Amino acid sequence: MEVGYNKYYNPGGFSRIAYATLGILIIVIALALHAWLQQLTQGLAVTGLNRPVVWGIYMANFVFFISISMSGTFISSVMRLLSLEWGKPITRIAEVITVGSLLMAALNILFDVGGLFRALIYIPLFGRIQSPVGWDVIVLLFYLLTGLGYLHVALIPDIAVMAGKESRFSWLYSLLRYDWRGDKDQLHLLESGLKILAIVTVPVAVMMHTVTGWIFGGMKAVSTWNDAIMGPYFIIGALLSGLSLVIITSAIIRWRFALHEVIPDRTFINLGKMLLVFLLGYLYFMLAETFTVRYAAVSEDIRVSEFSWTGPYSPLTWYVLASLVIASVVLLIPRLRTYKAVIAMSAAVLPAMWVKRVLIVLPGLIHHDSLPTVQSALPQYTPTYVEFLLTAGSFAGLALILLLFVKLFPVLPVWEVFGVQKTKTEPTTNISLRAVLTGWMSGILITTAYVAVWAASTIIFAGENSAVTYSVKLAPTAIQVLSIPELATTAMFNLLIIVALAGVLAILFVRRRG
Amino acid sequence: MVRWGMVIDLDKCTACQACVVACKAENNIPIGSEAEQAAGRQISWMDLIVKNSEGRVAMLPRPCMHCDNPPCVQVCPVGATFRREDGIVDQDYNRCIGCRLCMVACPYGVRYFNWREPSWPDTYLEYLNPTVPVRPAGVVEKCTFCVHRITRLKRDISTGNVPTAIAKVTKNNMSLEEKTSKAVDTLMRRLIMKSDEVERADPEDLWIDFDFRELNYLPSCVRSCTGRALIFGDLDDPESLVSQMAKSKRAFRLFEELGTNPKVIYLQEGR
Ligand code: SF4
Ligand code: SF4
Repeated sequence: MEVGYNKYYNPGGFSRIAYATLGILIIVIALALHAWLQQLTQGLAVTGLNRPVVWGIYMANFVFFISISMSGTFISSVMRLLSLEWGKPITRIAEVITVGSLLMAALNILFDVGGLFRALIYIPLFGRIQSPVGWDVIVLLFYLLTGLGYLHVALIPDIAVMAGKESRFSWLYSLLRYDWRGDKDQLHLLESGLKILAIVTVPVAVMMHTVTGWIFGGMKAVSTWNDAIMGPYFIIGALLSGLSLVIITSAIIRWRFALHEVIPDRTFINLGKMLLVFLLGYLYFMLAETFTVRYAAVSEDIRVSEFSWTGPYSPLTWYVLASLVIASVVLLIPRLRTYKAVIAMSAAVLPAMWVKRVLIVLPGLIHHDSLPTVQSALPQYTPTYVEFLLTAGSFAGLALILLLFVKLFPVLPVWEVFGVQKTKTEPTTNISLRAVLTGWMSGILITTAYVAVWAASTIIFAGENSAVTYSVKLAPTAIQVLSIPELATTAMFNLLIIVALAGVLAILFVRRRG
Repeated sequence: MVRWGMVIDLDKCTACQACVVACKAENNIPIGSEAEQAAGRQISWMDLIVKNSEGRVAMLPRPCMHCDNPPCVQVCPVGATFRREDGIVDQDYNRCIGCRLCMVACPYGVRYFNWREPSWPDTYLEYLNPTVPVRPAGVVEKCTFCVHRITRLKRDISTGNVPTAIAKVTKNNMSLEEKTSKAVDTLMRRLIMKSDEVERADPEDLWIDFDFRELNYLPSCVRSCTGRALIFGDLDDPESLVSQMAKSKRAFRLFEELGTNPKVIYLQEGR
């Protein structure tokens, strides 16, 4: 047995295929960086965006990456909380996808804004809680925090074993193992820590997708967006696209790492059943959405609906519908539900879901010209190569993160699948596991408390129309001095301070323990 | 409290687009090319809405509505667009991060993004307006009700550097805001005065050493409207011309059902 799973601790060198993939990814990323540089120097004029189509593929990418981030931490924490044994081998892959896709989502928003550096500085400094961007930044930070924490903590036992082996990265492994020795107490501590993180993740994940849906749902100016269905719709869409990416990635990893025993066909068929549930749910939501628009027949909404069902965008809509329906039919028939079919259907669903994100953003915006003027042009949108390159680049970035991860760390949570091993070597650091867990927990707790206080203070001190708080004084020469409550409402500035504080606290805690 | 607003009398509007041009010149709006126009990237704070209804084409001048409940302000993540205490929804170009959330949120489509760095023909450069900032690429801009002109009027009132007719209506016990409101109303009434009224009027009221440049305290579009269809002033002052016209039976506002409370009031054409 020992020999059987020891091989997972040797993620090992690059095969020829891995090298080829790496090469392609780096080329794509380099091209994307070039395109980004071009966009940064020439402004957003190099994209196909215009008025009224002010958001395009970047926004669709953002929504898509957010939605696939659902896969990981959410699915794996549900598996942990429900103790689904068969799902364990894929939890780690899923978690890496979460972290990677959240980073790519954030990146796509940065592609989209007109002033990159301003956004990076001003959102933390002047962020307003009344803005959808405020919610999104907060939830994204939380999700990243819990996702990273989850991934990190679950890695510790495996890293500890790897630290005992000869490798170029043993310094990294022995640093990241903390004082893990693999005894019962530590295992108990680790598992309860993971459980708490799993419980925290579920509401955070739900809010992440809801809030992303509300960016659209809250816009009364754009027909078909202003709909209460948006939050739940985004959740089910996220489950669907996230799961299909997990299936595809697991299939690739199973093939490359020869994991046929650990991830048997059975697992894929189970995942296929989950996928079926989400597929049917998504189709139901699509029906609900279309019914409301068609039956109520508000003329502006009908214009958008016709545009996407029978107008210029109809091929895309029907393509999405066809893929989803075919996938559901194949997965519904037990005889067809083989593991190959499950993988093929996921591969069909994933691109369709990306197209569906585009279909959420574009048709509404193309009809966002309810008052056409003399100087406005015919609304149209043709993405340019810059946008395509940056899209390709962000997908390549996600793939690169996955590739590097599986080359550095075990792709399976070996300790969960095969049981915990006692480590052969003694830990070299004196940072205790408890301290690591406390660090993550206190980070999350303090951030939560802080966001609550911040939200309350914005509302108490400034109210809904708090914009006056930020107004420059009338005479342009007057220097604006922020008072204390104003500073308190300058939002995420304080958030950053608190996160830093949490870090300091954690370090202090570690010192004392050590 | 002042609450600046505008009445647009469609009966008088000739769709000559003088306001459109005046706005572009006043506010340093870059001159776009034809390709930009076709791509939907032309900037024009003031523009004419084209409405095709029952075979009739109607034209409505369209500045920013300066909503009292502005959705653009609600969604801005950094407070770059904000509602001033005098009701003007202003834009802080140095704060704006260019996320374009406000453009999506505004139901009237009055917001414009700077897709590129602004540029003008060389001969034009010396005519740029020094009192209005030039906006860099990557920020959103929109009509400000010529807030710089109002600021200038305020400054001149507080330093006492104003024509007699304005000095006459601004009493010492008024706040600066009220004085500005009265001054704008006086200028407005003077602007729309017809020639026979001018003949009949008390010369004192016309401020004998009248300088047409004084009218430049009014927003550029209002000042240059050929049909005198644009009326600007304080909606909170019941005596002001603009609030009296706003009470007209012909008054309507765009998308009133959205609850944005626009402060631009249209007077329907009498047929
Ligand atoms: S018209 Fe548009 S830009 Fe102007 S205040 Fe209203 S929502 Fe804002
Ligand atoms: S584009 Fe500028 S003004 Fe508009 S919402 Fe974003 S930061 Fe605010």
